[in-house]
Amino acid sequence: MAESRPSRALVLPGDKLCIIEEFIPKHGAKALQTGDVVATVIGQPEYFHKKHEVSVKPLKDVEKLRVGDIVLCEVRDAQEKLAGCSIIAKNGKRLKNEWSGAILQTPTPLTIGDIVVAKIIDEVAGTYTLTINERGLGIVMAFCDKCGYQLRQGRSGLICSRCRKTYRKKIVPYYGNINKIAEMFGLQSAASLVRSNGG
Amino acid sequence: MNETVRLFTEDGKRLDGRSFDQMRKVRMEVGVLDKCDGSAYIELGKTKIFAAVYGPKEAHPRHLAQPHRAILNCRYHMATFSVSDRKPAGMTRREIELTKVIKEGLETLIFLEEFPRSAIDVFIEIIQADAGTRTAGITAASLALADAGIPMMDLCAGIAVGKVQGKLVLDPSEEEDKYGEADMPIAIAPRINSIVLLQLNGRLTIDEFKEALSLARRGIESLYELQRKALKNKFAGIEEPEVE
Repeated sequence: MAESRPSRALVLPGDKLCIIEEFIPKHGAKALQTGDVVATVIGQPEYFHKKHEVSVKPLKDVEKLRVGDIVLCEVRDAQEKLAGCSIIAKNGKRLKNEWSGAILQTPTPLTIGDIVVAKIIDEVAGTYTLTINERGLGIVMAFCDKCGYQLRQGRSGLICSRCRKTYRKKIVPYYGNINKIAEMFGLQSAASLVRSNGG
Repeated sequence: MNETVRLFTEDGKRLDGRSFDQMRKVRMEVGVLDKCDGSAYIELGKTKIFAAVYGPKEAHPRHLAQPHRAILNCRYHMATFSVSDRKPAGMTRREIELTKVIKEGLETLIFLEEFPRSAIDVFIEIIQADAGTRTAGITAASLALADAGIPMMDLCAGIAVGKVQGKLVLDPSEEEDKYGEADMPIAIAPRINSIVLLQLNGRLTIDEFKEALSLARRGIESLYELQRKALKNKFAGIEEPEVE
């Protein structure tokens, strides 16, 4: 790993870090046409001497989804190959703003209203592709498409305790445990998930 | 009419006691609002302004989203009680114009291409207006954007230069603005030496324009130092990032 020289100095946008011949600008730094490398965010500069790179460790970073993030999302639109969803939390933190994404459908398809733990596998120009086709990923809460009642886990899959309809879906081991979901994704109350789906 | 209004005292000072190259008292604060991602407050004399930044977030309506960059939504708005006569609550033609020039000024500084299909909202709310609101507004907006962690090329600060009874004055007051011959608001990003906003109401000769520009630069340098100080006051004690 390249040796870094973290500086305790605080840099602000526009502060000169070096010139382009010395270090290549990475996160939080940009090269101007003049050849100067400047900080673009508030933070502490880090110089990686072996790699000849400079970056700024931000003190306040913007909320951004990245490939590999585990997210909690709600299915808004289900089609044959993709399911449109709203991403509401990531890596244990509630997002300030919801983002749209598309989940790749599995043999047991997702339906509208499913609340899903998924992983971001691709991002192209702000369009996120997600999957539930990995261990630990799947539906954490689902609702009956006939009566809207919350499905409970039965021996042969998910079952609606009101109309007795059964479903086969890829679920997580803690399916239906709303307190655990709330705890995992930093939600103040899991009741909001239930309320929004009428369960 | 202008001849009858006295805007300078006998010893050559302005009515509020300032010299021609002196700004009004400035106060800046960062992170003053809770719910937004970044915020700032600025007082320039009696002018009081809040700026708030939200985002980057998903652009709505979706058809406005750009596939290669974020869109910047800006709103310059004067509160109904900000002036002596009640101002109508909606957006006036003047506010729509200032929204446009401030937005175009800020767009040149922000790395919008880092957030495709997103939107960044900037709200500038004038709580009390006493001349210089557009320049103080862009100064506050720049601080709020930096506070929100939006990547920017540089901070920017703005100030107006007026021509009053043949003399150039920095940061004209309400009376000087009203009875003066010219008014030139200007905003500059000092480190990259870029003018992001320049308007001129009235007439200046080329020499006067050059002098006004250098006068504005001096004012902006001191505003820029105050901006840096305000940001450092907030962030100096923080060790770890707030969001990973």
